[in-house]
Amino acid sequence: MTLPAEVEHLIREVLDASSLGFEEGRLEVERELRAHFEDGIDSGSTAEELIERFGDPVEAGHRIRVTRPRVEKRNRGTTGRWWMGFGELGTEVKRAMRRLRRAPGFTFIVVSTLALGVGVNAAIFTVLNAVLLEDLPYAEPDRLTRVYENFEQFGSTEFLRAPVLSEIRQWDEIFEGVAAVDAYREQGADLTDGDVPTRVTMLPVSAGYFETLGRFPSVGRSFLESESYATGESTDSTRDRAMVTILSHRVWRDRFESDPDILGRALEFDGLSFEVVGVMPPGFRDPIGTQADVWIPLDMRTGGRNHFGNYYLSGIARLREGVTAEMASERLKGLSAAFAEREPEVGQGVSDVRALQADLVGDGRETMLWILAAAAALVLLTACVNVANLLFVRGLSQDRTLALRSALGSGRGRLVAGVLLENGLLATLGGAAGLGVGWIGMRVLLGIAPDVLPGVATVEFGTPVFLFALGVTAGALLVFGLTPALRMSRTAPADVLRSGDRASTVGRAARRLRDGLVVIQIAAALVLVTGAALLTRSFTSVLSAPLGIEADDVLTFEVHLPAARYPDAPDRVDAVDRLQERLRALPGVEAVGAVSWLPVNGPFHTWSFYWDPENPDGGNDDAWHTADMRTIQGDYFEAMGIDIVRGASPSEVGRSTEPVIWLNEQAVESTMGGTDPLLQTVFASGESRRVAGVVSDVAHSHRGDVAPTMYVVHQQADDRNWALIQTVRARGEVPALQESIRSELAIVDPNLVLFRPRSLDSVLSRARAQDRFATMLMTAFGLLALVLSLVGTYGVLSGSVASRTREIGIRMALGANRDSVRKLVLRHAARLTVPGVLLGLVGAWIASRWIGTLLFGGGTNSMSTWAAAVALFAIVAAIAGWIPAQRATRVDTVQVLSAE
Amino acid sequence: MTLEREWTRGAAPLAVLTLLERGEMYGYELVQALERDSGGLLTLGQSTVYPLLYNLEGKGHVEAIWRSAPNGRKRKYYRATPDGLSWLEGQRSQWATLVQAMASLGVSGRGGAS
Repeated sequence: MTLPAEVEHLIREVLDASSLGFEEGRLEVERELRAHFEDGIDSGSTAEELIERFGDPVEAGHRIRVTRPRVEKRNRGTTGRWWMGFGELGTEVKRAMRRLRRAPGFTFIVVSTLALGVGVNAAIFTVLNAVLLEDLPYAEPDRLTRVYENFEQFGSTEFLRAPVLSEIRQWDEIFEGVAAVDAYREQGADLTDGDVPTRVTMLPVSAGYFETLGRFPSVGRSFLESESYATGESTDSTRDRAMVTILSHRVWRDRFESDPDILGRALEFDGLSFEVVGVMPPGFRDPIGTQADVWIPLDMRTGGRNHFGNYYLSGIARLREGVTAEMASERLKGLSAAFAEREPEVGQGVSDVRALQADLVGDGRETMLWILAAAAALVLLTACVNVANLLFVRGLSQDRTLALRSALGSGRGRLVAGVLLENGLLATLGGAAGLGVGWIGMRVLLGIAPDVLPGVATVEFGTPVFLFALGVTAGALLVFGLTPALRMSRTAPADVLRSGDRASTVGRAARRLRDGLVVIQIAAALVLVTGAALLTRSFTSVLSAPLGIEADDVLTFEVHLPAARYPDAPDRVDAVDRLQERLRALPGVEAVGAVSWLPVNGPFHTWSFYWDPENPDGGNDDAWHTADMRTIQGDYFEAMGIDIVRGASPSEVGRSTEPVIWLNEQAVESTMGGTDPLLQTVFASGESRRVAGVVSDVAHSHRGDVAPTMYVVHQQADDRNWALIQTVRARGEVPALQESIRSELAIVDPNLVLFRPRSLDSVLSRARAQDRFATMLMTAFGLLALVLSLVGTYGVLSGSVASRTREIGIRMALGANRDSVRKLVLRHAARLTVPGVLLGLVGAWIASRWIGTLLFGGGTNSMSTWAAAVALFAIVAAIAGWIPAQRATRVDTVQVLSAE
Repeated sequence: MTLEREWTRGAAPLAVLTLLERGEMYGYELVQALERDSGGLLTLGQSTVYPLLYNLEGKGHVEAIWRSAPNGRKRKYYRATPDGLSWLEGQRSQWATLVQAMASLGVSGRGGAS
């Protein structure tokens, strides 16, 4: 409201008489007096009455002169403290929000930079947390261990023999529970309940499995001792096994609509009837192997395949309170030695007991995750440097405003608090946006990582991640936001106000600080870029690693022949034959074969064979060699593009009754040396076999590792139900082939399921997932850091040009030409880049030692990689420096000097 | 009747704090309350209210906060602080002692008898 002129006059008189300065609260007193008279007029008094009742303005002014500064003094005392009351806080928050709204560009850039930095870290942290830090979802998971054993000659420890497991079950003082899982190979079964069979994943586990993990069925019971360890001999036949099953919650819910009367119901798996005895609670997952849909009891009785020479079980044990994995391991080693003495013909086993969690993650993966986490932290660092620079520049432009507020009586504490609040708001926005980015990033990671990270299916974006993001953001802004805040609060208001528009007289120390930050930023970015380059190079070598197969245009799928309907081996061989015959007739199909285990999926069925022409009876202990055994049928070699180097192809040998075998080149070289393999006979898979041919080597891993391998045709193989993987090579659209294959399969047997159809390419791609994962992330981080450091360098240089406009103008007036001005700026660019790159090289060298464990081929000493990284940063510096340099040469001398 | 200035000067801070003890008030409200509740006896020159409030605020006996009044205008509200209230307690007992002493001297006797 407008006050009458005479009232305005009176207020002016009071203030003049008080001669209060702004810093003494002059504005505050004025506001209060205005409010007084406004209230008076509102209540119906006239101006004259109010003036009369007010009394002598000069005397009032004098009194105010005496009393008012006491209030200011007192307020400075309180606002000098770092805290404020709620009311004040509200005011300051509103003020800070208003300031940010007025600078949308600044706010956007700071928030998005923070969001990137925080988001990347939140995503990596989520995965890291789920995989490495979070406890396994079992009771007291730190007491859970994996029990290992293996045949010494296999080199690695992996699988366990059934007699060993039966023995250590008795060690009550060491283990509270011991269980075996038959996860050697994922097993499926056709569940028939109605017309259409569905394929389910089936995991045979010993009694005590659920007890050892400390997780029990929510409905029904777990497996009984007698269902695994009953008296009597185990045979490979299913007839005398316990035919009971426990269902996963998912199968119970989806397939049986959570039927409450499921217990006791008979289900058919592969034509055999199993009684449902339990249902697991939702969320239960198996620590080893693929997540099972149903569990059946594992036959642990001696006999059958449960003998001293068969390593096929995965062991899990719960340690007793106070017992360490090392103690258990020692004891187990003793047992292996004792067994070796008792059963000399099977040789010495090696054994180990390891903590389950560490074991599941695996050393390679753990290293990879920590490297990626460190990389993400470096990205955050580069992002923070940019934010710090932005805050710094903003601080300069705010100096005048703050100085004014300081002159008007705001205490230093209040000003610092205001700046902190502003940073806090930015942090909140950046952190929130970062969580969003992190959530998207996590979905992306999960999308590309299912084969890389165990248990990521259960990753959640929960409280720990939230706290983590909060901590990271708050930490970043405290460190990078407080320094400018303190600097501002120390600025003497009078200096800033007097210096007019030249307020941005950046102190030398402050400039050094900014330069230093950019140097660090360049160094961090260089470390990331070099790491990314090394990984990319390594991955390129992985991609070009010779695998010995032609992966294009091959479709693979599994067909499981249920034992109930195909009890005998000849029936199964015949069924596969009939299927393959039909598939060969399909248009575009070039070759059809089948194999027991696809290449590039690691070792499998590492068996031994004997070769000694002098002592063909097997008496020479040194003549036993290990090799991977593959059962094949049809034109497997042709379908996979494996060369038959010497000898005949399986189709040429046909259905001859003479036992034959094919060896790969490595098996021949490592055992027979120069001897002509085609004249040799080896003893393998229970028979003496003539070497019918030699085939080219095929990689066991995607990195091209090769192992001795032998191939036996299905009709001559060990008598077991080989669930062969069919391989079909075809011209043109391989996926489109699937439907025709399905109909052909239905003609052969309508109850068979075409399981897991995949192109060989995608099998390879899965095997390369971890390498690809690390490379992709590292490259993304490297690019991000590169862009951020480009922005950072550019920001500092252009800021420096802006603040030196006068200096440049004067130099040019004194005769400096454009070239020398340009050089001035580019020299500054070099001052930032050269130390940054040098520091970065040191960092990258240290980091490369660590990253080396992930690399394949070439190692870390690739000069070209390092040189390329340095060159890249030279280019970045040139780009970041060129624009400000050009701007500097365009400084208008006349304008600058006339502004003086 | 109005009091002599010296009396007012001594009594006014006590009166203001006593009013603020009941609840917060803004300047004009306080001026009016003083007039009304003291039967016009303590009609301060309004110009003296603000220095008086600043003095109390400077000592920490009252605190002030700007807030929007129901009519939307900003007003500065004063309220007694805990410090101010305990100071008021002390002053009250001194006041009572003084009145008693005056009474025993017979200062207030005549008025009481008439």
